Amino acid sequence: MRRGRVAKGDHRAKANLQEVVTLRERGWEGLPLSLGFTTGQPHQTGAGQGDPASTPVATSLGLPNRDLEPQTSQAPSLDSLTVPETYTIPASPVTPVTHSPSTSIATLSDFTAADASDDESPIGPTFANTSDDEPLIDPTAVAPHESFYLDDGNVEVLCGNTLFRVHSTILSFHSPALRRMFAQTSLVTAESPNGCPRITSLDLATDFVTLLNIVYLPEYVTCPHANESFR
Amino acid sequence: MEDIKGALGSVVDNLSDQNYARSLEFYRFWIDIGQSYHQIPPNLVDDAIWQNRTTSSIVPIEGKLIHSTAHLILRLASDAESDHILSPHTSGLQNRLSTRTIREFFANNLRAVRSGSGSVEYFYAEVNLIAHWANLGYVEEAAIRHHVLQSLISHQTLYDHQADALIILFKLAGATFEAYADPSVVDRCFELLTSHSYKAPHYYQSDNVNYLRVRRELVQVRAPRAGCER
Repeated sequence: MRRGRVAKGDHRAKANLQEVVTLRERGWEGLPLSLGFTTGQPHQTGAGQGDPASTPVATSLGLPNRDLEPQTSQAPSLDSLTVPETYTIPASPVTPVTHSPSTSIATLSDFTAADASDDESPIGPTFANTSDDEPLIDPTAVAPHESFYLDDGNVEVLCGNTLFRVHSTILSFHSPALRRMFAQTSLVTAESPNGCPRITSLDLATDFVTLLNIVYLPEYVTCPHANESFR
Repeated sequence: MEDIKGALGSVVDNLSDQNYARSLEFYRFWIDIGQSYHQIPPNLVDDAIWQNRTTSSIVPIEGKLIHSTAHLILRLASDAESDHILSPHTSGLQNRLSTRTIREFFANNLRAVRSGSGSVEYFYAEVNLIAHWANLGYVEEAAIRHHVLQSLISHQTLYDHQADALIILFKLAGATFEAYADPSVVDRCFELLTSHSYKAPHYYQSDNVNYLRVRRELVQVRAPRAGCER
């Protein structure tokens, strides 16, 4: 009887392990990411709490002590704050966020609408540097997108907390709306923390990734008759 | 007042997504009665939640590691702290509970390592709660960065409860721990996890009686039988 239970548990243990390994490989997709820590009421969780003289366990174990910014490997956003159960977790105590000083751009839906009409009229004031339209960004949580932070890109686009680096010419080639947006947005004066102008989008990172997949990866858009012979 | 405390505790014990709103109402109702006719002790709500933090949904021996209502416990603490009736008795509740959770987590881990027993049942509940607290920002950043994972991998190999704890933490809060903990620590966790093989079921026993019984059975199985020696 016990042997059976252990075997079952062993099977489940392997399944559990496989699950977390897969989760990690996928960049913890679907898992919430803490966007900050409560700082008003310090916890008393033992030694080392705010004590610079204390020795972190990482150091005592011979591991590097990296008191650096979080090494975020995925796009952290408020939308990702979901629990992999059946419940929406209550509002997180997020650290105070600041307005990004970078340039705002319109949403993808605006691009689409403009593309549909394809007129040459200037796109509305949503592209202007209006602080009212700027999303709230936690600057400490901004992380480059794992696929679309292209080293040779010439413009950065910030969607939520995910940073993209892309080619304005290629995006402009595919979309008159983006072309106008890049033309109108003052890339020269925009904030350039990484050596190229950064503009801030109000779109979700996932939506922007979809757009970039379509633009950069031809195979992303599959033809329904791709496997058919034309002979 | 003990009766009220017991009643509040049973609410925590029986929390579910379906009865959550009713449970919060129940809390509000009895605290209202308590403050009208009694002197409410300062830690009434804290203790009612804390002493009922475990759940029968955790069955480590079957690989069931996730606390089915941990998120509701946190939600209750959050709502209780912001509720206008409950707030006079719940100020700082989330901070206190998260602090208590992480303290007991460290202590129970050590007890389990030393004795192979201890409050393993509570340990699993605490790990689940820590994962949720971490996601919500209620675990000190230094604890995530320097203490939680490191305390589980401080030996050459993992104990079974430590392997389970790592799985729970990564399953529920992998993004947070990967983001704030040292990459080499996370790598070491996975290295140990993938090489870990579960040993004896006695780590899963929640009390010494079961632990001793299992040990006795193991000893009997391994003992050479009389008359078998050549």
